[in-house]
Amino acid sequence: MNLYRSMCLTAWLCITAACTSAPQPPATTEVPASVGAPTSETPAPKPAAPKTQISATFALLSQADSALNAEQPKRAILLLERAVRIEPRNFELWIRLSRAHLATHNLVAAKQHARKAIALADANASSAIEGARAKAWLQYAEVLEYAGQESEAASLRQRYRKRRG
Amino acid sequence: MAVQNRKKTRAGRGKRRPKRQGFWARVRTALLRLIWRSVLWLGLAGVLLLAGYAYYIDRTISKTFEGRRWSVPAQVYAQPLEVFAGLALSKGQFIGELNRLGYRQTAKLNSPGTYRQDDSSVTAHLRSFRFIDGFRPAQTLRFTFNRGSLSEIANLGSEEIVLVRMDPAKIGSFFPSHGEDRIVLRPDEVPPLLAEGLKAIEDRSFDDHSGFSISGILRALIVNFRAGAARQGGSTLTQQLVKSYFLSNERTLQRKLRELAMAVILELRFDKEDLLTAYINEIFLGQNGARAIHGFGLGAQFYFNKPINELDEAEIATLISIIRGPSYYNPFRHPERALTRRNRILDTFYSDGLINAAKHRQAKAKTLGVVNTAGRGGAYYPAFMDLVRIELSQRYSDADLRSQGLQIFTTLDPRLQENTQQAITQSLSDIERDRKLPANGLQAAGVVADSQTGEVLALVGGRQGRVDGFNRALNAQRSVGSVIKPVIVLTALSQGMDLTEKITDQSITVQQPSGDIWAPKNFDGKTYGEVPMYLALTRSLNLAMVDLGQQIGIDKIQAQFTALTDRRPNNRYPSFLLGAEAMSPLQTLELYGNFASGGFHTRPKAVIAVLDENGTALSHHAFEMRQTIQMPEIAALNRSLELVMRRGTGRSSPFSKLGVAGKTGTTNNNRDSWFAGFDNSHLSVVWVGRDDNKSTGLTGSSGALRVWNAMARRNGVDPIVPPLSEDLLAIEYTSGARANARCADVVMLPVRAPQSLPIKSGCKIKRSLGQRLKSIFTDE
Repeated sequence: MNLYRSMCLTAWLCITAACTSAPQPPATTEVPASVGAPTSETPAPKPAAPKTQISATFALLSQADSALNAEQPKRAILLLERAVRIEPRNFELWIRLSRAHLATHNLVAAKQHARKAIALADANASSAIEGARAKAWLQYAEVLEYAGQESEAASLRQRYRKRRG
Repeated sequence: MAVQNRKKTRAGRGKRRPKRQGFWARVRTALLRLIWRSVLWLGLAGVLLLAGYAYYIDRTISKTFEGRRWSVPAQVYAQPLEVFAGLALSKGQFIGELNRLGYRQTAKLNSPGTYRQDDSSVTAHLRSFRFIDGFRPAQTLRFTFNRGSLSEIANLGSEEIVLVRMDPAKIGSFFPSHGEDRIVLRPDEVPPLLAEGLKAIEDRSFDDHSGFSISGILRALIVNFRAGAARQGGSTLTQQLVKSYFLSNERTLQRKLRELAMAVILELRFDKEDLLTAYINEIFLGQNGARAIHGFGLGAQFYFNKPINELDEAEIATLISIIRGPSYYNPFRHPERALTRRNRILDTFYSDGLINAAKHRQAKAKTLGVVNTAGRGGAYYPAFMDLVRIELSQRYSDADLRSQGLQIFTTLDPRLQENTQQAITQSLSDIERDRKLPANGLQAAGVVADSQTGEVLALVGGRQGRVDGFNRALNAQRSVGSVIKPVIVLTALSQGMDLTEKITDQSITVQQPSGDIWAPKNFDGKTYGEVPMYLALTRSLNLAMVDLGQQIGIDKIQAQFTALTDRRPNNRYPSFLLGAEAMSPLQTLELYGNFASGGFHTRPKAVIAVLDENGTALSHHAFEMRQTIQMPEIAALNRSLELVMRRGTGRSSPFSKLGVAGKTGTTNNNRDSWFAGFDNSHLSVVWVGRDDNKSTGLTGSSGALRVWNAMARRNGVDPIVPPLSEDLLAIEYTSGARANARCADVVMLPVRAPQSLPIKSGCKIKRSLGQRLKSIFTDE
């Protein structure tokens, strides 16, 4: 399930990296399937319900990233919190929340949300999420660096960059 | 000069004579003059007083009227239901949600707020709604269901939709200035039939009179005289409005005169449309517990569970029929009476040309159609609303709260709220019946929050949830008993101890600073000697916990408590270790939020955001949290709380082995029964006790846990994901020694120093070198 989620996100990140960001139209509540939907090549997880839940939160995550790219971090926070209410234990959502709070210069929230992402990743029983766990730590490093704790940030980066894969 | 004087004297004599003769006439003249002057002065004074009084009334009522007629109350919304393909939501449940939101089933989906269904799908015309993060226009979507879950959502163009947010249920509206509940309509929102119908039934000369109607009063007098009783009122709509706004119900001449004066002033001051709209928003239409139903906007929600613009002719007539006597014509209690009056009103609509013959026939053929659902009146959760009000007052200025038309988005989950309320009401009755306790003697409170975010999803303040009253969830300060014990275990874990650490369960006496001797006992009165820490927790052994607390030091434990709750304990004595600390259920929820969330403190939150009337956020309460417990400690603690459920005081729960964690609590003399527990999604706290603080005879297991069982039965359980097996060690449950399932009754626990543990003999577990050496010297 988590491998699937990671792959979806990686694929999506590649797409967004290749594209220039453009302001998004005002959000409607309904998210069409075409927005950030997983590709057909992505292996489907066994249980049906989590897959669609991930699709739902993934769609919100896509919108949140668009908002962040459009320098609308407060809107991104609203969208991500909505996604968290649907899937509260998805540590990747908490990583994005940390990022969005960092964009609003709210260091306390950015730090705590990164720690939350780490705690959820640590608590995850799947051993296949080492890369995502590293990502949570790297986000924490990002926050530390922003807070002026460069050496701690560098040390975390050194430890987790390779593990992110 | 002399001549003149003489003349005057004569003349004077000539005049004096009759005066002297008419002494009484002179008195009468003087009196008349006095009376005339008095009347003149009194009249003048009266006019001045009257003018002053009129000015006073004018100032008072105009100001109040101006202040209230267009003030738009704050609207409070629950969390919207997020719907996506794959969601475990049956077609029946979805239709239940639609009904809760006041959607009605129709063949044609020609207006928002309607739906139709076929074998496997529901097509709904969703209403437009402005959410915190954007506006959703009204639209029609098809929801397809398969085997108890939602399989697909598509729009009319067959485009698949991944995620849909339903419109949120309105759970309240109140004027920040006077706290009353209203749904205020603007003139353009008032259905024409309602406006004209009201005039036809209540005040035919409304458009012509100046506040009162002589002909109306005379007509009412004649009708009442003939009937020999008060059958008809002579009050105009304006007088009724005045009465409702400014006056009491007393029947005195003085009040009636004031009513007339005020009505005339209102008519002079405001135009007819304003007055009629104010009347429509103000008039009393019934009572729902302690909540008064004022105005047709709220009346439409309360009686028909839909907005005013969706009412048909028959429903409008029903609402108008209630005005004459909200209790006498109550359509829930006296449906036949209400139906007769409704039909009479429909006849008037027809005879006045307000509806045509076909509509008249159709409307009269309809049943009353009032909806007696739990959520009617836009739902009503007074206990949760208390929390909303507290939070608003803490986070917003008075000026902000007095803004017009605020939209308050809250965390409430209406389904969970209803379930929690039902579970509490039902299980208290069951407990009283089964244990032969006096009926209605028990009280309870329950709070449910999201495990990860701390958002309060449901809050019940007593066994009658829809009745305003003492909110036990927020305000009952009761000793928490053994519910406090995880704090001691957590402090021990953060001092480097393991769950398997041996502690001593033996009789103990402690001299308090006051000189009193404190001699705690175990619940069963026995002592158990050396026991592993986790066993002391699962069995809730008081003496072992006091021993552990004294080993660590009460200061450290109380510092831990403060870190977890942001509050200092009230009780600084060792009895704190056994939960002699008064807390409310909400405060207990805050404490356990640290455990359920995996080590983060979050203040329980009810308000997500507040928007002003332009849709601009006054503020948005983003998630706030602070890490309070490190990963190894929280993993161990939560594992032990799972054990409490599987093997300990929570084992009587039918859900105990499904992956839930929790702790029971019982206070001295069984006064309070507590349970705090969580699964993967929800954290719940339940308190059961009596308002007079007398014994209930209940333990945490037989009282609060039983209520929680009923909640879990309704809300379902989302099992806690077990930790990786390589992080756990098999431990014999009763001894705390290393073992395996082949040789002992084991539990799986995280242990930091497994090499220090004894190995159960006969279990064929390889000892480490250190253990082997130790056994040589200790003859193990």
